[in-house]
Amino acid sequence: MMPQLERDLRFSTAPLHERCVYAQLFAHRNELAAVLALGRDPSVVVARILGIDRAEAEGELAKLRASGLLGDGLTLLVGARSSRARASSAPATGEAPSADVEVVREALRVYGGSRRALARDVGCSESALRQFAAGHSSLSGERFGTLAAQLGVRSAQCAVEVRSAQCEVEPRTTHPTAHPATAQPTAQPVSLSDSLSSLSVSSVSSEILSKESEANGESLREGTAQQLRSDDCAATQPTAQPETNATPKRRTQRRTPRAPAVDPVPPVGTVARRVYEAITTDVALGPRVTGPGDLSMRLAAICDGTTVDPAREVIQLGAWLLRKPEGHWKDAAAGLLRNISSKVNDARALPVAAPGVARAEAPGAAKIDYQGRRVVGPAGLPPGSAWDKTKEEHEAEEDALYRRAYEATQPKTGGSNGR
Amino acid sequence: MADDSLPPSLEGALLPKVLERHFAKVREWQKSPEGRKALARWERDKLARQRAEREEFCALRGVPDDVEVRRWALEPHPHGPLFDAIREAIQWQRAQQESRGGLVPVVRLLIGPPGTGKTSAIGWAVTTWPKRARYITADELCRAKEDSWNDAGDVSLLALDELGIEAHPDRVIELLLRRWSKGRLTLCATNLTLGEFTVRYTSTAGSRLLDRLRDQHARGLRPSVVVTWGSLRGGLGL
Repeated sequence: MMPQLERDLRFSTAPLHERCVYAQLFAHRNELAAVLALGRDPSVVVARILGIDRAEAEGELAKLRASGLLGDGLTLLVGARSSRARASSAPATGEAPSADVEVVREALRVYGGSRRALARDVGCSESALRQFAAGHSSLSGERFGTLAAQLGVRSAQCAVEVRSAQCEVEPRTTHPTAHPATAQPTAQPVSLSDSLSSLSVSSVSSEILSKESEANGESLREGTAQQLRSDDCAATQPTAQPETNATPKRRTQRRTPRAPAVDPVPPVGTVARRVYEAITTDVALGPRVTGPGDLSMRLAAICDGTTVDPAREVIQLGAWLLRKPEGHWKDAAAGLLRNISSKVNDARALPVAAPGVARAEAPGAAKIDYQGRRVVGPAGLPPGSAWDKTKEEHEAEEDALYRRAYEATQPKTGGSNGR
Repeated sequence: MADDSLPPSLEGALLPKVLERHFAKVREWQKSPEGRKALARWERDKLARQRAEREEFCALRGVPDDVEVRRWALEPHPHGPLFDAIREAIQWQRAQQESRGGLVPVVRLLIGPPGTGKTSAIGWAVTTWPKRARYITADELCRAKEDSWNDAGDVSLLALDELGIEAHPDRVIELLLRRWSKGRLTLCATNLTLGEFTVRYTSTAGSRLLDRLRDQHARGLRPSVVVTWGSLRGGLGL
């Protein structure tokens, strides 16, 4: 559990159930503020986070408020100060938001929640826009006019489709709502697919950007929503008639995402497989190495024809890395390649005798234990010492000792038996 | 534990839906690269904590300060015939206690020439023993005061080193018999041969000890383990 939560007595003394629920809300604290700024109901937000229905979410919220972990709305009382999702932006029950606030919120929806883009187009700061959306202050007349104009342009440019299964695009036929001072009543309320399928608002703006690029990047100021609908979801519109006589649009080839390269696993019984198992089972190297299969085959190829054992080197380097502080050797694959290549170069630099020259039998290579230390065998027992016996001889001696001891404790048969 | 994401108290329990989803997310996070990094970090911290704990036990339980002895004492999973012999004794004692119900005393005698790793092996056993354990030499035991001697008789595991150099073997025999009557595990290390040990500790005053060792031998665990190699000192490479 997060340490900043554990330090708080209110959290640590709360029941386990409430702690788990609060931890999940706390994990999404950065998105909570953004979502609440759009005017969502806290119980709906909690229901989407926890994956439960709204009634159950309201019950969970009540429990959290009773435990003192949650304030009004979704104000997280426990945790870092900067993480508080202030619910003051949520309107009070029964109070309808003003028209200005609705306009700003609608603009945010159209812009895909990108306050930065909207603030840039309107000409105010992001924090001011946040205040407008929360209903704390109102836009000036000039800025409101700018906002309305941008809203109209944007609504004509793209249809906001937030991952609807039926690919329904509701045409934006609204006139931009105007400031009361200019007295232009709203023609139709804007309707959008109201979905919280993605709590991260940046994903919505990416949807919008993809739609724009799909439309060849050309300006759609003159385009209508009808044309947009035929481009995007013609198959789902039974009444739409394809324009066969019109010149086909030049569509840019959508760049398909490159499929991630599959890491090959070396076959069993090969040197590369031993290296692969050494890398993947190592506590320090396993998480740091991406593509262990490819790396193991490269290491085996490098060490081929030399006396260097790549699996043993990997084990030693893993043990060495485990003793290092965290953050050491961020690119473990490069480190392994570098170290083992240098060992191979050293091994190849050793002089090799000519093939015809008689060589004395080379002494056995020194054994290295699992910690990289050279192991020299024990000294031999001095000849004729009392210890110069095999294990079986010692066991036979011990058995004889205990047999004699047993016989000494048993009553002797024969002799005087009461006679 | 089969599922490390679940705390032991909740393993097998019926969880509310909210908690099940929470732990499902925990398991999913554990499989992610970030989770694996956190797991590696936790493993490193765990190794460091275990090492610190063993170092503390070494100091508290009287394990010698010799560099090689400490190195083996702090080793989490050492390999070797002497370590295997100690593990065999522990497992045999547990099996006997389960089958017979009650405490079963065990004496394991490591016999061999000097420098063969006997002290390191019994030092490792003392360091890793989960209950009260103590390391002491026979000479210190004979010169110890009554409190220390009683404590040596009561601890769950006693490692008695350098048998044969003490001035009064009767005290050692008495301690071994006391620990036998309490069902404790005793590890002894000596440079005496089996014959010399028998003469010194199992003659008239120690015939009771010999009978108990014979009983243990008859039940399936050899009391003595003999070293068949020479001195290791000066052998382990740099």
